[in-house]
Amino acid sequence: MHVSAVAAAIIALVLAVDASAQQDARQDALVSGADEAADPSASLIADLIAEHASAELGRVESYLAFRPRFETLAEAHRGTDAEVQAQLWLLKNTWWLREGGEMESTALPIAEDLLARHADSPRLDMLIEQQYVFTKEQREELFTRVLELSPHRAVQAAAHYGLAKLSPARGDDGEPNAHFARLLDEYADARWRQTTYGRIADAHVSPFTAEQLGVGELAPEIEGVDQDGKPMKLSDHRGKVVLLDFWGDW
Amino acid sequence: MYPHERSLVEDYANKPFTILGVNSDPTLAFLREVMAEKDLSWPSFFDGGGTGGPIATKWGVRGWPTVFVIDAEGVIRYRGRSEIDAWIERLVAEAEATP
Repeated sequence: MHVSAVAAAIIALVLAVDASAQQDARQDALVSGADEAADPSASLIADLIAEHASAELGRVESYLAFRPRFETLAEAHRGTDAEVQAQLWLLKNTWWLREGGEMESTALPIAEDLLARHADSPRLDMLIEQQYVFTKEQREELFTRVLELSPHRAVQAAAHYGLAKLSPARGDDGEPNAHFARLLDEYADARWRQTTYGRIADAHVSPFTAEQLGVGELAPEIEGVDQDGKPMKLSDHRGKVVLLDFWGDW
Repeated sequence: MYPHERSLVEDYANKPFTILGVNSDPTLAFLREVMAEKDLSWPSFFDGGGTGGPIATKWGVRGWPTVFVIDAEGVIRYRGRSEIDAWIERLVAEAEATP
């Protein structure tokens, strides 16, 4: 390659990185703008979600009681971000229909409709997080379409992750599957809650072996943040016996 | 698990022992609320905000709680639930015997 071609390629790369950073900044502005918008539907949906969250009913009962209200709100505010939030609530809670066998058949039309009319919503990562309401075949089809249609990097990363988990983390050739590879190469810094898709993909592709975690082995380092968000390492506690407890309050 | 853990922390106060959590709850705020409500005085890693977090995934954890006992040198000495007390007692004594 000619020197000037190399320089041009470098400049193009720098511009691309810069453009992607600007795109992320714009998306953040869009997301926060949506929350603060004067549009009254934003507070209506926030209130309804909060009311459902504090309702003292059984989970199935509260879904059935609130479902018509979310449907009405979605209908009344068609095309808005509030509608997207209402549809995502309806999608997530189809989980409560699984015992009656109606979960997948109810969830799929909601997801199809969201993709048809709201493919540019920065909230579509939540459609992927609700993966449990879909069959494996539905996930493959839906998440592939999300990936093709969404302009948002965080949503694309979520779609790659959803698709990555449909196959073994490494193929027969020992290499990471195509979606984990994309996450590691292109979306390593994309955020999922308080962590990144890079760290999550690495954990799937290169988990510790049973030997590494065996009795008699030096415990692998853990680097992360504590409950206050402050950096913490397992080795900070060297010199003490450590009861390492993987836990959650559920 | 909480009452057992609280009593371990009491029993081994001022000894070379700590509990270290790896927490898979959905938000930092939720974790802090649980810690305050249940009076949990020991630190926890916040594993990103769910059971699919990078630490639990890297460590192959698929059931909660999963517990390891690590000695003062950083070596894994036990994985399980039923013999936690005996291992902690033995390893704390080992650590205290080491100059």
